[in-house]
Amino acid sequence: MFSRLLGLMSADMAIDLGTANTLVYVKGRGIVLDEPSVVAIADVRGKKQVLAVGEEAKQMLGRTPGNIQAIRPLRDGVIADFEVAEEMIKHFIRKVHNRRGFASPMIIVCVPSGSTAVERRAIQESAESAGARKVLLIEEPMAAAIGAGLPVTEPSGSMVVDIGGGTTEVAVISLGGIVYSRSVRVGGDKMDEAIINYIRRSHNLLIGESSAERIKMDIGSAAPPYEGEDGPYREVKGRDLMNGVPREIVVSQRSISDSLLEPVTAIVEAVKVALENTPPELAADIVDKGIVLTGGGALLYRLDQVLRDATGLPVVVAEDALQCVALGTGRALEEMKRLRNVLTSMY
Amino acid sequence: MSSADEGSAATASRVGADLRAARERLEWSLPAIAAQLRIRLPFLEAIEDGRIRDLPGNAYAVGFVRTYAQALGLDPDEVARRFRTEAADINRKTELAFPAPVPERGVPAGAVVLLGVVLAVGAYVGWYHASGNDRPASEPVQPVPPRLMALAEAPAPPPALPTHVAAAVETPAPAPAPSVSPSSAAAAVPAPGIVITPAPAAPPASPLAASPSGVGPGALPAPDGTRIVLRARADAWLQVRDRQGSVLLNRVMRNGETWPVPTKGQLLLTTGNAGGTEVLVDGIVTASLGNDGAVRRDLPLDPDLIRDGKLALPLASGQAGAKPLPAAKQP
Repeated sequence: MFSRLLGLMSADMAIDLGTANTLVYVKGRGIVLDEPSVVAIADVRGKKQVLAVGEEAKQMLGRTPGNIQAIRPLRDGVIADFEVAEEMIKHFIRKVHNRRGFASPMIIVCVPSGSTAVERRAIQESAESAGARKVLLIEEPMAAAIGAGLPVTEPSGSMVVDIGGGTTEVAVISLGGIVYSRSVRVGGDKMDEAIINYIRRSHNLLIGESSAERIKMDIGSAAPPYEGEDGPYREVKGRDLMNGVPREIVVSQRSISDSLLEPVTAIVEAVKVALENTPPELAADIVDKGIVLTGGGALLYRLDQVLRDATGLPVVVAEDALQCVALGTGRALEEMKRLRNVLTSMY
Repeated sequence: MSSADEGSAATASRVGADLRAARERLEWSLPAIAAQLRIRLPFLEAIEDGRIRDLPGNAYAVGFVRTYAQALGLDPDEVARRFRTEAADINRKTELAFPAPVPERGVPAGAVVLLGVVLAVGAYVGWYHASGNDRPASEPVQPVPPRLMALAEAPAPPPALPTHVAAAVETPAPAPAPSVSPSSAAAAVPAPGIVITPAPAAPPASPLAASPSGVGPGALPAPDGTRIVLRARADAWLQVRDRQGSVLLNRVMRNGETWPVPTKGQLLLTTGNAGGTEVLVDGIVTASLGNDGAVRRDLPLDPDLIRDGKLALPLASGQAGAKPLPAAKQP
């Protein structure tokens, strides 16, 4: 009763605490915040202070002096730096909860389906110490499927592949529950890493994470261009490893698609393994309806085609692929009574 | 099928027709596209014909349209947006109804609680009725006799001599002269309500309740034919016994207490305070038994003897009417 009263006064929120981006959905208002999960910490006379969070902090990533650290507190979908993650959540809550109500909000946070109990507990505790009244967890593939608008409660199989920054979640969902799920720690970050490694190997040029991400977004492709083509080109700047001076080179889509072969293959393998473990009736449903891709990784050019060719199933990219998880978590918040089956708590 | 549905189907077929036109421009066959996109042929045909109902679900339908448009070289976002605006059904959110487990018992909890409350109330009402039959609902108050009604309504007489009080009980008007009528005497003696107290304004029913419970069991039910009543004007020890020696009364009577003497014949009265003891015969105060503090022993309680003043001392009889009240003040 009392908590319901508090709920009226506070803005309950759903948080997609992603490795790359954090999205905050506020009840009744929709997605109000979409910022990179980066925190810049300044060391002021031996005391650590938060300098910037989000987009501003991302600008500092890889460009900081000695007393400033730009940290990504999440790695592989789970919290790597507990204190910094807590500061970041606190900052985001304060940003969207501006003076509206003195009551602390209820928060739903999504966690990778493959995360361990310790990792889930870490996420829940950091959300609680960031000022949440109550914290509930939802598994990412379920949130992604709800956000993509899949009929998850029907007695028919739906397969969703959520390719996030740190993890790729493959799940078969039916009757409101996850029948099979598989989480591989391959995502956007691994693709950036692959690009960095490729450029270092083949061009002896060291580039930063942000540059690699930009290349991936611009000309990244899961499959090489058609015969005889190299696709579009992009310039990339970095430090030459041979003589140590900054240098600019030009890379083609074909070379980038070659470099992305490893992470893409890992994703394809994960999907294949999930299909192998799908019960036959649900597999029959998936043959008809196919696979839905969500998450930022789904926007990688021609990834759907690679998966289509590898599995022989229809593969579609969900609309608002980047926001699917946040939308699904938000819907769980809005329709909490009906969707309480998918919410869990570590306590 | 409502007209709105038909309208939406008709307009959705426009997007389908555009897709078909684009495909025919490229001279691609539908089965070839189905093989390339892995989307089943019936679904592609349904998209081209605008039959949204034949598509597996909203999210999938939009996804198929996007994929198909992309394969044809059209802008998938634009085609999907048109598809959404034209097919109203698509815009509806997927209904999520989780399968709820069937409750273990058929009766819902609310009905059980209601039934319990009804049963509890019914049981209480039943018990109340069953136990209420044994005892009367309320103690009936006896109606005031009509002859006392007139007394209750009359203005309270001023504090008067005990002789006046005795007379006031019988008639509303203060009658100093002792009027002895057989009818009034007979009516006055049997009823316990006639027991006289010094307070003239007291209601007729109160003396019984007000009198201390120390009155002996024999004293309370005044037997018919009682003509003598002993009354204490001051605290006095009284003893009444019969000739055989059995004691009927043996205690100190407080000021104002009365004791109707049973008609048993040959009773003897012994008083420790002759001045504080009055003997009423047929409701009329008789001559004083003696001085205050005087002890009189073995006085025969015979109505005729008392009325004739045989019990009174020759000395005391003259003072009886003159100063009874000052005597009462002495212990």
